[in-house]
Amino acid sequence: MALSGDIDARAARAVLAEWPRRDGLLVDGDGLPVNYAFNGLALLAWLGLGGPRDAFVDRAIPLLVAARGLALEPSEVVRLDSRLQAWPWIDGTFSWVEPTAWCLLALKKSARRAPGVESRVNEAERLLADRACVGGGWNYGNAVVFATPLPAYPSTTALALLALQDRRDLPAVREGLAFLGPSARSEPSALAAGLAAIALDVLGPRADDLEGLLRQRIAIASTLGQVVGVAVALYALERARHECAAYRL
Amino acid sequence: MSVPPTVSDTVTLSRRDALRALTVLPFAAAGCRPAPYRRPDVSVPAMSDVAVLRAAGYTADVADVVGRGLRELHVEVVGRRVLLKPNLVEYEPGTAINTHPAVVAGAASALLRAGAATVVVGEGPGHRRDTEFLLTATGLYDVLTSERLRFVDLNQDDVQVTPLRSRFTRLGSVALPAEVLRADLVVSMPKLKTHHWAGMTASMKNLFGTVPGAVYGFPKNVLHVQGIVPSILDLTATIRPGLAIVDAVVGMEGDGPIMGRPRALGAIVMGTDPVAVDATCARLIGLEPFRIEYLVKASRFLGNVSAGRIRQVGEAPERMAARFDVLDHWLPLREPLPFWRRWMIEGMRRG
Repeated sequence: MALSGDIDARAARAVLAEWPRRDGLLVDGDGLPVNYAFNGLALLAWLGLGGPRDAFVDRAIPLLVAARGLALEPSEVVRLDSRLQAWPWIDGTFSWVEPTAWCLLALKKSARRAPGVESRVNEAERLLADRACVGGGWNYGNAVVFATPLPAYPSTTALALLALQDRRDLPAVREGLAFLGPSARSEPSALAAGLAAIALDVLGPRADDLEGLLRQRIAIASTLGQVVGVAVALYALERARHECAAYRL
Repeated sequence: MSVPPTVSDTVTLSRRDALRALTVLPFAAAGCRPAPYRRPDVSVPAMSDVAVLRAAGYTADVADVVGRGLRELHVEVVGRRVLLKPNLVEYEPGTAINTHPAVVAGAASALLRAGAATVVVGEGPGHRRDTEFLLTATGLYDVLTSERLRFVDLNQDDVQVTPLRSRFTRLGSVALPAEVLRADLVVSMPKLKTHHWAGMTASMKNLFGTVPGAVYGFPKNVLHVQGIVPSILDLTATIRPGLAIVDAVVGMEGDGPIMGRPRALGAIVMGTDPVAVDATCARLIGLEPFRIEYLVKASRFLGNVSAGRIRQVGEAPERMAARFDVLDHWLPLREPLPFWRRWMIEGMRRG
């Protein structure tokens, strides 16, 4: 997505198509499990590249719809509805905010009318609302553990807001936006600054003052090999050109 | 004249017998079950040296402290490629969640001075997966830059599927980052903390951060589904860190590993047997290591827990010990173990 304006989209699709697949989903390598967050991101990237609808999209959507995180018995230790099932990072594990947000956004963008999507979307939205932190925003997906409220993160808050951009009626979205505005400007991270800039562009109010932070963090994230953070921040820097179309419903 | 037992007598005897059987049965059953490891793959040293070294604060000369530990432990590093694995979890100002950058810098400096060919810092944070944020906020990025140390994000490194050397989980194999496999010496560098799921976290639990989140999820979900204790044992048996350097200068008590309170100990704990290092750490913070499940199991095939098999060098641990607060459900970890239970546990130790 970050390079979509500069390179041949067919070449980018060819790179994605070279990844080994199992049952139609992308995986990092033979014998390794499916990472649903990365598949949601890949689906979003594929759609963002434009052009003809690839076979990957048609194969991935029903598999993402069928995938579910574990449902667990309620626990007094954590304050969450452990029976809600959205998307886990990895098969056979519990649902968390980031994979849920990537898959939810990808499905909303690509397959709203496909069979089974509506109920998955509804449950995933309920899960995100349930996992919101005390005081607004989201972290990885645990708001309270052992009666102690845990803090929200700008990066996961931005991602959850993008996945819920069509649900501004939810109190969690309003509270998440109130958290994201100030926190995004103090987070030393290309990933956080990039996702926050994109989310604020899509949901408002725009944050043009993040440009300096984005450029500073891209330089540092590059030295640390943070490919996703650099890519998201580069995409955010170009948002005046593409208006965050890849993330916008 | 023989007196037939009364109903009361019969019942009393049965209870005693049943109690005796209940006491012995688990051990007998454990002894009969095949061990979840192959004897040729594992061994427990006859004795393990553990150094408890004084470091009053993070402004102390940590390189000097670690260098002394390397000498006292006779750790040979000349020409070896070293991977330092600190513990980076989450950042909140004023807390003691992560291995302090000064300890990472000091360890790197001491190892290079001792002749290590290369020193690389690698971590795959599981809780806060934004590695750039963690490195910057904790100050470790500044240390990496000033000390010219290379950092590898183990969450994103290339992986190689490696057979596990024990079978406490049902995984069979683990995808390990290339940088971990490439290292001649993996150094586990945890922060000493209480842990609300495991009781205590030190050099063994720290190895959760060596497996990539891209494959196991965040916070290493697959390992949690398999069980924290089985995962600790399988990772330690398979990665076999050759050295542990524990940041116990300021530890964490209470609701660790994130929400607890800082607690100063003024110590750096080092050793080549991670089980013995963690057992010493438990004693330092007032916990009975033979009540910590992963240490009990590790004592059978990986390393030493019994105080009689750990030779302490440096400071006397009892002079530096502090009684860390723990959550209520871990209060039993403070209780001394009855002699008979210690005897039975040590009797199950494989030499």
